[in-house]
Amino acid sequence: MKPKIAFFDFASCEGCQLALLNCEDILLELLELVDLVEFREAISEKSARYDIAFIEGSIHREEDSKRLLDIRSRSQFLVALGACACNGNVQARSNFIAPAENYKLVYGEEARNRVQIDKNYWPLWAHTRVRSVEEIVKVDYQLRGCPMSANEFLHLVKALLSGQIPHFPENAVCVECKRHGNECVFDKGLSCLGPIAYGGCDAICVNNGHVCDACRGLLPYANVEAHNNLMLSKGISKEAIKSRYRMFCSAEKMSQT
Amino acid sequence: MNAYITDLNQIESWFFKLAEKQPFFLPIKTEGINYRFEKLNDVRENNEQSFPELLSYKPTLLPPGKNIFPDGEILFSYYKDEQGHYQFTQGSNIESQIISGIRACDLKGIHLMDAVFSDGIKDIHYLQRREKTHIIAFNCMTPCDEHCFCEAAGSLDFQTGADIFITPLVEENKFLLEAQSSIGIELIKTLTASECLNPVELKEQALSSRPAPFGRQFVEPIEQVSKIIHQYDADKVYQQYAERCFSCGTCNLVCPTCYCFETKDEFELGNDLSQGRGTKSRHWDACLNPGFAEVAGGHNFRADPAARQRHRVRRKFDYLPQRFEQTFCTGCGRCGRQCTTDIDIFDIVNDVCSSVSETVAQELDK
Repeated sequence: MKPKIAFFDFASCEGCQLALLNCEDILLELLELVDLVEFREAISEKSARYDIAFIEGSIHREEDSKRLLDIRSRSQFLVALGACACNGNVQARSNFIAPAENYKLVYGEEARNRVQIDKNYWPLWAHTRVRSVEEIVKVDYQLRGCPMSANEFLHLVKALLSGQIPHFPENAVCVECKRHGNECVFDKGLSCLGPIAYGGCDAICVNNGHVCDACRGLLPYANVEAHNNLMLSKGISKEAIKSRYRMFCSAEKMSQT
Repeated sequence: MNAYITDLNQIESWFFKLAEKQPFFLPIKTEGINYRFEKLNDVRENNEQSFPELLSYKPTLLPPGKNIFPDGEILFSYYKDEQGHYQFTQGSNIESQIISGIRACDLKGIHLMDAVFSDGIKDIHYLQRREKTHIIAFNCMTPCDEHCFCEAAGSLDFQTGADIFITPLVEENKFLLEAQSSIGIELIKTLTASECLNPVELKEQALSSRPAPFGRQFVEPIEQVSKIIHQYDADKVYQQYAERCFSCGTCNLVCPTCYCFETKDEFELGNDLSQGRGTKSRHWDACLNPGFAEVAGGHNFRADPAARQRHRVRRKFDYLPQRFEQTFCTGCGRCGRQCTTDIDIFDIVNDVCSSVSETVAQELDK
């Protein structure tokens, strides 16, 4: 019997699944080896147990976390797929803002004033805290990035199917920039989160003339204090630095800032 | 005689002639403020820029030795034949190349890599590529920038291993070219130049016209530096630098004598989920990355960033010099130049030396 693989999506743009569908050659090779049992973007088959469950998206509502616990109990390996599942992604910025303030940002001042006198106007999402998958269930592997990298996806699946341990080095983006011979973003007079961010993306943004915004999250050993000082020394305001850190790493611990 | 005198125009047209026959690399500023070793023909097609600032360029982002030790190099590929036996073929095709415009510090870097990869079990991947790599190096007349400390590290004037070695002479726009190998003699045939009858004298004249001291100097002579780095742990000094270190590995990856690599397997799965076919490649690694010294079971020999800094400094000034009898820092200044938080191995070494003389002074006072 072929191993069963399933994809589940929570709060996300489903871009990671689409990123995967874009790699048709990889998928065809893979489909020879596995049974794809749940994949909302492509099929609607169901299964009781999964060998590998891929979770896309961040977790907001209580019913979502129950669904996630149920998936976990039926899966041998559970993989967080993409930045939303791994670290909350941009939507987790709302964790730093009071619910009423959030509400105002979306629907305006009038709506905010209304909910303050009538609690029935509160939408479901307003009081939820955006969580990464890891905050609710045990995660065996993280496929980081916004969107995830198809190469890492393939590496993980091949390794798991053939009984090996997938290896994702915990290195800064700088490593991949150097391997590509990139000019340092700071040398260009711009600023970059590469020195404190998870690599594995092959420095794709810097290779193409952009800067790193740490969509893969902060490294566990990130020297945020030194990075903060570096950014300040380039004349960037404290507020701008904070906002930059929160853009993608919002659900991650940021004890040092 | 294998010494010639010519001018920059002749050298330029000679380079273009050489580039017609094989990949020809030289330092070019293609964007921003930094230089890279680029293929001359690619540059000519995509760039209006006239001839490179051969004698004044700031050392390239990556040292030229990386052309002989490329990242992601395929070591071998394999497949399972019909009898179930694995068949192996050695990796990539190796074509000959000329790397030109190499500064003396980087020439020494290549020389040290040659020593490392020939030591013990020979690294055929490196050595085969090295054999097909021809080098045109030159002597620096002024320090490249404020990060240079090649004289202190003992690599100024290093000229071993270059097929052709260029020295800019005192007379303006005159260059002395010495062919130092049979390949060098062959290559120089297409250069328009006059034979030089007194190379030793002219060279001496050129070298003595250089500024002295040349670039930054250590507080102690290099032999003493090695002894101090070996003998003293200097925890406080390394700790002080570690506090602003990202452990990003940039200092390792841009170093002309860092040769550590990790290997990676890429394989295709057969229908029975066995590994039927694949490749093994190697990728530059960095001992400043926390995962570098982690072993099975999760133990990490150098979990502390200060320990990793010290390890790096000792590799350059203590461990490898013990084995190869040469300092493994070439003084090119890349690590300090490219570190985003200005951690410079030159400063670390000086601080260790100064902290030690203070300790010794304090002990004498008691």
